[in-house]
Amino acid sequence: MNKTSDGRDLFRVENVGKYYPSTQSHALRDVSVTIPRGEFVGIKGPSGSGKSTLLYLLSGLFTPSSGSIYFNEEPLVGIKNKSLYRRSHLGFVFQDFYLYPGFTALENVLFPNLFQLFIPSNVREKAEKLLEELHIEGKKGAPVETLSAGERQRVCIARALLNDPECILADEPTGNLDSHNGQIILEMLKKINEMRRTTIVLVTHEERVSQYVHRLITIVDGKIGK
Amino acid sequence: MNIIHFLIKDIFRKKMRVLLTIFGITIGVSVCIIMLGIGESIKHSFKDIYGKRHIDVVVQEKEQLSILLSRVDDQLAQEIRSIPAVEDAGAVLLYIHKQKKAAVPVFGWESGTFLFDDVELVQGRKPAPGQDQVMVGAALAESLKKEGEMRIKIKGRPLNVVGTFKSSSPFEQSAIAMPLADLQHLLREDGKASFINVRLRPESRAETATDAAIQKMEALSPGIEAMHADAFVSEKTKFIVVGEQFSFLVSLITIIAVALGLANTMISSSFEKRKFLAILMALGWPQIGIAMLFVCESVIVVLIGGALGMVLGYKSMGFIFHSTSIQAFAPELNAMLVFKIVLMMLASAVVAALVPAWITLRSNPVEVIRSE
Repeated sequence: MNKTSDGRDLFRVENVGKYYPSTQSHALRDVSVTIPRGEFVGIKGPSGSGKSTLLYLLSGLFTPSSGSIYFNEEPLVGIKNKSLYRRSHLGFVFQDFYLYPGFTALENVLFPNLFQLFIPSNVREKAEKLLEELHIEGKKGAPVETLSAGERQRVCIARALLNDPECILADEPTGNLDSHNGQIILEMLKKINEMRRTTIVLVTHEERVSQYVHRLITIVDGKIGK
Repeated sequence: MNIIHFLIKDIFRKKMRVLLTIFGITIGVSVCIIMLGIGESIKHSFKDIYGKRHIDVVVQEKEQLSILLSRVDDQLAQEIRSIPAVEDAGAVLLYIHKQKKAAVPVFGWESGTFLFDDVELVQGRKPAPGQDQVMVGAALAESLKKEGEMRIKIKGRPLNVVGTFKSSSPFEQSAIAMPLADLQHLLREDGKASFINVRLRPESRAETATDAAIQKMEALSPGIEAMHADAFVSEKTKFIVVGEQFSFLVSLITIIAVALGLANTMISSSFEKRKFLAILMALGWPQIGIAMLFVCESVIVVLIGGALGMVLGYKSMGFIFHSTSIQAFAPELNAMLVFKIVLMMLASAVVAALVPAWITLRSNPVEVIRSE
């Protein structure tokens, strides 16, 4: 247990396997791992090792072919409304940002809640505050396509934080950034983890991540490595 | 920002595509308006003649489908007036006169009956029998004034226009009215009428009392039939509005074509932003939210195109009425017709949206994200 963790597991992964019938390949085999609340954990491994698959299994976007995943001690398979689960408990940061061009940074931050007919003013204020915390308040009205890669990733982080998630799932968030911007993003994630006690699961293939995370899990050929 | 703001902004990101789609919908809706609206306008115009003038029963030749070919003895009106339930009855001879390129209805109204008495004059006086005089509806008077003519030639005989009357029926607004005897003389149909309009006493307007009065009228002559005015209008307009069912069928095909075009646009739109939609699903958007995204987008496009289509259809209908031989009618957009078309368009919008929504919701967001 690390110093930021409160000792309770947010995720418990037990003997999970994932088989893709379309490619007839095993992405994960018999993986067991626990992720305590408040931990900043890195998942490292070469391309195709199954690290992103583990991330999407945690999000409920994939279902395991074998084994079980528990979220707050509740089996993930038993959660009927996976959309609500993701919306209420998780935030996502992607390597390719996936911001919607033609819309401003602020509008993109608000996207997770846009399905509601009206977005309450306090949510909008919160989005603005997040952009301020991430030091891009000056870009809130700028179309996202005019932002630099580093700024775009900060918009993604703000978007992930909008609903105060218990956990941020970050899939290679520094993959499309230069080393300077990559370092800024990792520092921001570390700060979020420390200040907000948000659990962060970060998938990466970069060595430098070990400086920021509490624990680094290595996956090789679908198995937890040493 | 809310979902509507997002949708409107998003829709117009692809200006050319959305404008072409809206244009297609506009054309489709205007075709429906024209096809269905012309029939409705003519029907409505006829209904007004009867409803607004309180005509309760129409007596015409038995088993005669055409209002123009129906012939009854004008003396029958006198006999009908003697029925206690009847307040008044007036014989009418109807003729369609070719005035330049337009078809102008000519009414021969029995003098001294409510047909003449109830007419609201806006100018001049009512025509006197045997004086070669006519009065014209306000719309026809307007076009005659433009042409500087105060005479009308029917069957080669010049007739003086001595008055202008106003009617709530566009059909009558563009008509010529003259004493029955004069029109009979012109048409060499002395003693004949097309039909007899009957107004019942207020206390006899109940269903059973009207039916009893109708039986008494029919007993006067074996060659006639008496009908409720509403039933008469419905039956006659069926034949006047030739191809009403055909119009409906064409409109339906048009709506289906519009819906297919719209579905194609929606599928293209969903394909273009499939990654964005996958991200929304990954971020936890509910399935209903994703489906509503498609439905709202489709409905917004349809509403814009539909509104423009209605305006275009209405204007085109007016143009058709004024530039062809049916200028007696005025374009009309009644609430029921608008409601029917809006309903059809909204249904097509929802169907067009559900196809791409279903395709999107079936896909796994991660697979879409990873696909490129």
